[in-house]
Amino acid sequence: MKLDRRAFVKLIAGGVGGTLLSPLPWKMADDTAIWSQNWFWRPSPERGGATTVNTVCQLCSGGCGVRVRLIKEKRAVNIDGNPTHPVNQGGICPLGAAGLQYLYGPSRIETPLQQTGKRGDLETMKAISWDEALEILAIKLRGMRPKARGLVCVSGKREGTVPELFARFLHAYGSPNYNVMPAAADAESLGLFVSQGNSGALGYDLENAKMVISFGSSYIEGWGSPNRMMMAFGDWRSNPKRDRTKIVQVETRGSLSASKADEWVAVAPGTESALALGLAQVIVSEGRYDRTFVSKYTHGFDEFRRLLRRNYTPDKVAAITGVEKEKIIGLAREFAGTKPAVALSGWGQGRMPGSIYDFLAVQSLNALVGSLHKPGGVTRMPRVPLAPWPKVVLDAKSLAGENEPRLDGSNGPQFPLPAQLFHNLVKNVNEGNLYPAEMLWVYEANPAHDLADVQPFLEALDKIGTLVSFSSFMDDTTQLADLVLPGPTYLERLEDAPIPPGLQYAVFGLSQPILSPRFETRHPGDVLIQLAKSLGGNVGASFPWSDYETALKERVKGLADAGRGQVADEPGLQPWKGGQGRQLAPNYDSFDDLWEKLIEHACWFDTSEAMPSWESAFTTPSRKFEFYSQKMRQVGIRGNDLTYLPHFKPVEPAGDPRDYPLLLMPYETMAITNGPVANPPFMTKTLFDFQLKGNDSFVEVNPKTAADMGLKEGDRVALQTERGTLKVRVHLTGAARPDVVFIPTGLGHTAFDSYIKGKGVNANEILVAQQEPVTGLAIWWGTRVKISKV
Amino acid sequence: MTGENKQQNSGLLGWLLFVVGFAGALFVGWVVFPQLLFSTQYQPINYNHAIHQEEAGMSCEDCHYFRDDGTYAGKPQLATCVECHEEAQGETESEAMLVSEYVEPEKEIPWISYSRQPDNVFFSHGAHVKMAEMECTDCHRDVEKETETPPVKINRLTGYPNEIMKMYVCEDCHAREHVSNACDVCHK
Repeated sequence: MKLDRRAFVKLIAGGVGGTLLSPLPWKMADDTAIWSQNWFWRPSPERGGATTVNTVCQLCSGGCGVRVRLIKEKRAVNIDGNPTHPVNQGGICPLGAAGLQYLYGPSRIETPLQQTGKRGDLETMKAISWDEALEILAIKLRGMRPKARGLVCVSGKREGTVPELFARFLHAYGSPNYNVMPAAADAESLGLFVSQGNSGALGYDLENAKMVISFGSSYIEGWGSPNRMMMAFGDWRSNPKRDRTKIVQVETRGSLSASKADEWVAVAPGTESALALGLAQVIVSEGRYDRTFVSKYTHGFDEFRRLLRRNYTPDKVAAITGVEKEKIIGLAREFAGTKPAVALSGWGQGRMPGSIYDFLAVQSLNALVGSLHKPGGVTRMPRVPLAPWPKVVLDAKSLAGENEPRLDGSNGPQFPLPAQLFHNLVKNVNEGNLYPAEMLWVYEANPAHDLADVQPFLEALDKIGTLVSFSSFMDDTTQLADLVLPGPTYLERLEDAPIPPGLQYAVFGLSQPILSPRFETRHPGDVLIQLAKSLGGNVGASFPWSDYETALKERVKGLADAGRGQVADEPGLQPWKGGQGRQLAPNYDSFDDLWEKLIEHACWFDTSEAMPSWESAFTTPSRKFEFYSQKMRQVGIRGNDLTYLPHFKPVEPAGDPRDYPLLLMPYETMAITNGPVANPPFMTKTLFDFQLKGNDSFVEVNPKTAADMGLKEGDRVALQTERGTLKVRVHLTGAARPDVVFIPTGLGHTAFDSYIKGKGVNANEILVAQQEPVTGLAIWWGTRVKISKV
Repeated sequence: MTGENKQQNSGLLGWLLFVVGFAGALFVGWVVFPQLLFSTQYQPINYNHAIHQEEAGMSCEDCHYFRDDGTYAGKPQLATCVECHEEAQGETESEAMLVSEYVEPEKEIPWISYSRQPDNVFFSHGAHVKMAEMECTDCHRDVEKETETPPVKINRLTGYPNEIMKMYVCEDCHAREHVSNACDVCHK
């Protein structure tokens, strides 16, 4: 017997036949398919019971109430809006919804870090213990005390107890150099100071307005508190129980806010306030203003009227803004004839300080029609009755610090108003003016990316001795730091959330840790308290609390002591209904009860502070609303009559029009965050492929302009300004005027994680920030640019 | 032997080999392959379903309940066991282990699931038990009389237990009961 080829083939054939009649091939095929989907890096959700915790989002200053769903009380799986929170009423924005990507994202810093090599080299950043980190900082601060004024701090948050603790530390230590990142709130605060007497912020009673004119404010793209604006917009548009509110968007770009408005008034770049003055002129010359208010409660109306008649007639304003004369007249009549109507100021999302005169021009319009401190108009933001902390304990060094000039030049001979001028601080450091900045603290801010005209800041860093970052993430600034003291994220820590910008009633939010900190992070409030104690002396005595929670509770006791307001514990609260000045019966009976309820519901609100009466609202020298600002003269601003009146005098965009024929304007969108945190992957996914494609950013160009230059959709171009060059691609759109090109801000990070690092370009690198001569505020709405094909 | 005979013999051998190959492949496919494909895993401690029902008078829902929010709790957490087993309730080895290994150190018992669906399947016990009023035993084995927890056969390739319900079973039943078989009913 011999196994020949034929026999072998039969054996194999039998084997194949048998195999086919067994489950082996079918099961293998099926299981292999399943196996191919089960790679070890595939995330698998925690399973178990779900709980929901209320807290407040801190990713922007919007102050929205959110609910976080947790599995087994330890794995957060979802964030949505809290329906009992009056600000957002259950709404949530894309950034807030993506909050967990910050909590669990790869750019978290896990321990304190010390740079042992060259700045910016992540390889030489060494993990150290908290004891070591605090010791290093304490030794430096002890040694620096004779030059205490050289300690500079810049905070990304403007309001709240943690920024207050930073300011307090600097005050006790002896430095006048506490700063916040630039924002529209800067011009707002100064504008209120010079026209109404007290600085602070505005509260717009938008929910009750019948007509809204927005002068460049991206009212549904992140201006104010984004979700509150969305909710108000929904109500303006689709609430059958009220008249439809008319929305007019005055803006150069055909933005989303423009497209959702009833009317888009496309003004020439930077001329929004000229239009406001044009409307004022029509209202005044036709006698359509609120005569009671103007005659009894304003100062300098005649000077203002003369100025309007001279410079802002419809013809002249039409020439400046490019808006037809008839349109200007019609809009003015409509604004004066609709009650209540309100005008919004603050360009874009509110990150640019802008000009104080832009603010004054728009708010003068509100004053003329009697919309100040009236329902449906604009009032000042109410105060939350938090108890004060004990006074800072001062010693000779801190007293000396109080008398030192600020490194940003504000409150000084050149810029007498009490402004926040971080750009000017950068300039002074670069030029070696005043005195050196020995140490820079950066708290939840990312100036190395977010500061418009970022290059001078990066240069200034070389002249600053030590850079200390208090960030939770490895952001563009933190990666340049010498010492990193990472904080827990907002979902892992206790912190107050102050009233969001533009709100007309009082709100106090409480963020709380929804889970234990994931890493060796420490609350910045606790770090400051521990640092102060280790320095001892008056600094230690200025921080008498054992920890941040004790310090926060001490302030919150003020709410209970005032016996005002309620904890927001039911859905559908609408504090703007029924007007301000309504007393609410407190739904808590003691501080402990209030605190417990705040932990549960995360929000206290109050409507008892009425809008001030016209008799009492103004604390200017004339006790009136001042069209002609005596306060400006009082603080030492020198100039002619024009200086003290709202007027239109734009700061010319940087660059010679012959070399740079087009204008580059930055814009902000809800799909790209501009805060201290970079875009989360969820949001980046929502960008269109004409905004971000692979790693390419786009510049918006008018089709006609593009045709003249021989550019097609998607072409690669170089954008060149005086400051530098960026390579981007072209997107053709009618939203851009022929003489202007637009670029979004917020992309082009050099740090964070692989999801965002290197995606797109950072417009701030080529924008040139200029300075308003009177206030020193930074302005960067436009920079001249040259486009060339590459 | 003539050439013809040779050929005949060779043909016979050929067919014999065919049968050997066929039978061998069937044996490998039906007997050896399943042995190789599945690993046998044992529960951390023995759980006696029968004794809990008969002697302790417990019902299924005492451990396998719906939470207040309508989600299904599945296997009980240690806290449920501790309600009765703070201290040992008998003298079995499992009982001693339960107390010393899990109750005292407050460690969850790592039960191995017999029928855990993959992560990409959205399965709601509420929809099936509460709304469609199905019996547990329509899908799961009847454990009422079970005194020993059987070992779990885990597919080495996929990591899933062999008792797990396959998609066609879901689809068949949905089709029979006129429930939608659209993808997003189960795959969200």
